[in-house]
Amino acid sequence: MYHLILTLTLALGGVPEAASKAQRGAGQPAGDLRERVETFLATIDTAVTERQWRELGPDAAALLMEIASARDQLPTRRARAVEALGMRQDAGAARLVSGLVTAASAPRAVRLAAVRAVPRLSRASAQVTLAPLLQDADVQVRAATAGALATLGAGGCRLVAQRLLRETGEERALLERTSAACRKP
Amino acid sequence: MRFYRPVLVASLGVLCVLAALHGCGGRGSGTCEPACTNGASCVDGQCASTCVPSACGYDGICVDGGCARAHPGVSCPPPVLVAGGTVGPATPPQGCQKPVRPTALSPAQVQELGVHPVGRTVSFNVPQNTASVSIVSQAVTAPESITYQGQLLDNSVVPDKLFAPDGVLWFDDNVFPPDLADAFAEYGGGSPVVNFFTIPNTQRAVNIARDGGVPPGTWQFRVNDYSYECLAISGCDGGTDAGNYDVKVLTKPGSPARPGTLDLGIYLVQNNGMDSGSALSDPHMERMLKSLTTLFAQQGICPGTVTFYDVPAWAQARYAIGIDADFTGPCDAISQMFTLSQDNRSLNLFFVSAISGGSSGGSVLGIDGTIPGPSTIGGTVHSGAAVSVDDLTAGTCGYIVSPLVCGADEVAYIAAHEAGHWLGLFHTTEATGTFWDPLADTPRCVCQSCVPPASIASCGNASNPTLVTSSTCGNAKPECGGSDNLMFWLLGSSTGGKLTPVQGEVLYRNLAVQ
Repeated sequence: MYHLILTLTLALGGVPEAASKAQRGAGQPAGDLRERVETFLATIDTAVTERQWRELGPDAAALLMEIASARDQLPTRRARAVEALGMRQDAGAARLVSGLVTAASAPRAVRLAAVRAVPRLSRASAQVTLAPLLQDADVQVRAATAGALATLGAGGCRLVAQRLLRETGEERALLERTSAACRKP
Repeated sequence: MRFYRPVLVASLGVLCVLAALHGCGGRGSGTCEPACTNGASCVDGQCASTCVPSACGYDGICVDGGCARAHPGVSCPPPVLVAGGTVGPATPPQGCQKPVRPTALSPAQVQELGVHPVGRTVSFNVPQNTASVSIVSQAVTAPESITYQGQLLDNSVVPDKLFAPDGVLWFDDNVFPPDLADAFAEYGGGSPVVNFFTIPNTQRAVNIARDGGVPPGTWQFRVNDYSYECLAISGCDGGTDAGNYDVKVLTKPGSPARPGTLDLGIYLVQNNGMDSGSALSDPHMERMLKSLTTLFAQQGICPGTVTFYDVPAWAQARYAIGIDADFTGPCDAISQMFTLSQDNRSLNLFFVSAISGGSSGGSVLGIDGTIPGPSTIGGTVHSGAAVSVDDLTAGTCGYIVSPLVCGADEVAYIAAHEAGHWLGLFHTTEATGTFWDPLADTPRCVCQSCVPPASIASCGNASNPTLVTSSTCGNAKPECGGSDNLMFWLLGSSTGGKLTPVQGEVLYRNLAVQ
């Protein structure tokens, strides 16, 4: 079962937690920081953890915001930048991300990432920002919104519960799955 | 005028044909030095394209006025596209599906060994001149999980103590070889319920198989899973000998011959508004398939029949955004989605929306069931690879494969990468630059040699290892290569989508390639 150890390292653990002191944090050379951001955005089948994004330091926020808002970038790349801003809880990105939630021109992948990131960036206003999206025609948007609201506690869960009354079948099941946190004690 | 040339070389890296298509050397006169070739016309000292891309063949490109193949491999005909309609039950099945499935191979290639408990040694025969052997173990009854060093793990099944006819031990799951290239076989882990164990998949085994095939005669192995191994390992809870597995051995006869054909099943879970009918003529899908062809054709593999499938509405709703790379157990969404795959020889690609990373982090672009996937066996919990297709219609696409700017090319690249896993390829270099694939001709990127001096101390660090990147693995030194390989861990700036000859050989020997 020593192969199991490799399994743990490579398959289950995501990208190994990275960054030496020389690599991480503020003050690292701009080129190095950009390369590390680009590396994290270029993973194919390996997830980058919240801690790894945070360890890039505050200067990474501007780069990520630049990528998140660049219309000439591929949607999943923008979406991953939005995800990263959320995981890092870069407060300065709250306005940008909230705008992406409702930007009709934004690709769905970017909108969904923004929906998930909003509670982490602007918890106080997240409920107001997200509530209208529970009426969205796209079930994937509604499901992501239910999931995001579920992270806000009782207030968000009340909105989800009301919406669930109007959902049926597999779509209801999908919203129930994404908002499972509402039913945890 | 020829700004695309460096772009071509940098972004694809497989365009050896460009050397022949030297193009124009005009210097503002009315003549071109050297003379234009391949049908190009000399206009104001420049060779102007007279080429119509559509006239360059399915996987051809238009360069300097002439047609060229986009790769140095075989020239592929267009795949046969089929609308497979809707597959899967009309209503969601109850409970977790873990079916034992048959193979689509002819009986001559199949040895049904029956149902056996873990711990039992079974034997099988390898005929002369066999290209590859796959041992398939499917759970009839098996524990779901074990706890190892405090961590809950799926109970992976893997054959153990595999002995060749000459008595040499080819694989022991409790011995991790110091250099995988010297190992007879490599197992990637993470295969609960179903395991598809294929040899040869290492350099050493490929070398042996080149000389008359996989050693013929009677082989034997022990039916095994982690739960059984757990009985003899300290720090492991959940050990039991309760597992029973349906075991069969599949053989691929003959020498690997090129070109080969790979059938694909594409399941439109996230359909972007298209269905299996409209996918046949969708320009983005066409582009994606062309680029996928380009990537595989460099090692002589052409997509054969590509069948598009729709899935029921319940499956779309459940799986389009419901795949979580953090949850890949047999009863999790991704594994249950794969049970929708059909019984045939196709490599199954499930097109979904973004694949979330769950608690471990951000989203990923693709994920494979197991390495390798269960070729020729559809409907199991590992019978597929998931690919995010949110970028399919986005970006700007030119004549060449450009995964960084063309969404359809990016999807093709991810699909080809995950298909590479399915067919038995590992990452050439893993993120830390301390693990490499078991093949000798794939460039390695060695952390200690390639990262900046200040980061070397953290190479291989257990908690905070330095990571190797596209630039540090960009071939600046012989031991710092591989970022241009299709199976590098990153889709990076110098990505070229290359496949080496030995990688091609592993692909060729897979049962999915005909």
